[in-house]
Amino acid sequence: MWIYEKKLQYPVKIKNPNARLASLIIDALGGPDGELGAATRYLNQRFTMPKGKIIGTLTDIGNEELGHAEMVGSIIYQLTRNLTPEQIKAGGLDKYYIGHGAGVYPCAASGEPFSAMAISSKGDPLSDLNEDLAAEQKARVTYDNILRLSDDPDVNDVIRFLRQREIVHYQRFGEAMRSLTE
Amino acid sequence: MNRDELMNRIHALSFAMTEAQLFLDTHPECRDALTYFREKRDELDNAMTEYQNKYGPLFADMTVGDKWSWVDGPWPWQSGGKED
Ligand SMILES: [Fe+2]
Repeated sequence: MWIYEKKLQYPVKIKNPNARLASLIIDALGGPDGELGAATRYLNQRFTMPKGKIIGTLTDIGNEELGHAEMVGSIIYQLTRNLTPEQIKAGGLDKYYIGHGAGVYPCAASGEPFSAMAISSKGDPLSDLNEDLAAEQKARVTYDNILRLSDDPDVNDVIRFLRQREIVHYQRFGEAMRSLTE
Repeated sequence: MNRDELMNRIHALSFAMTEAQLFLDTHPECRDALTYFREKRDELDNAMTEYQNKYGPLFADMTVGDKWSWVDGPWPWQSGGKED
């Protein structure tokens, strides 16, 4: 089960709204390599894992990814506060706005809604852990891409934190996979 | 410590625990990591108690006083912004 803790894993304090950035960063919530998919992937794969070390790793990383989904949602919320219709149109957020207003809706930057088709749970430890290693790298690349396109220091500070976590998760999943052959 | 300083300390300690916890998941026999985790947990316990007594609950069941302050803001995403 879960208990909510009323804080973010890392603080999100964005001064300037930015429709364009919001329309891109939504990918890190609901895109194919986003945080919602990460949490869903790990928390479902763990049921059939053969070793306590691997179940623990998937449980704790999956749990952390839920916190990251909350952080990305916070970024979107803060970037879309008090936007004018002109800013929404100029920032290319108009297509999103028509369906969702300033609500936080998990979708890719392309507008494709979040889909569990982007994740896998095969009931096979080697297959699942290899997927997890790739998923962490793909999430890291998405954050790298965001950092190339964003010049907002408040946003980039948080994105760098999230990017760094993917590297740590990759490391832990590698160790979890090696424990299969111990 | 004021509210922001105390929350920064909670963020730091709780992050240290998360890191140690993930490491321990794949290194459960590491005594150094276990000691580190417990030290941080004790420091975090103290910081959390101080914060929740002064500024409101971080967990619903830590609500103190004669009012259900769990629903009082700010919620974690309601900071930053020009109006703050
Ligand atoms: Fe991750």
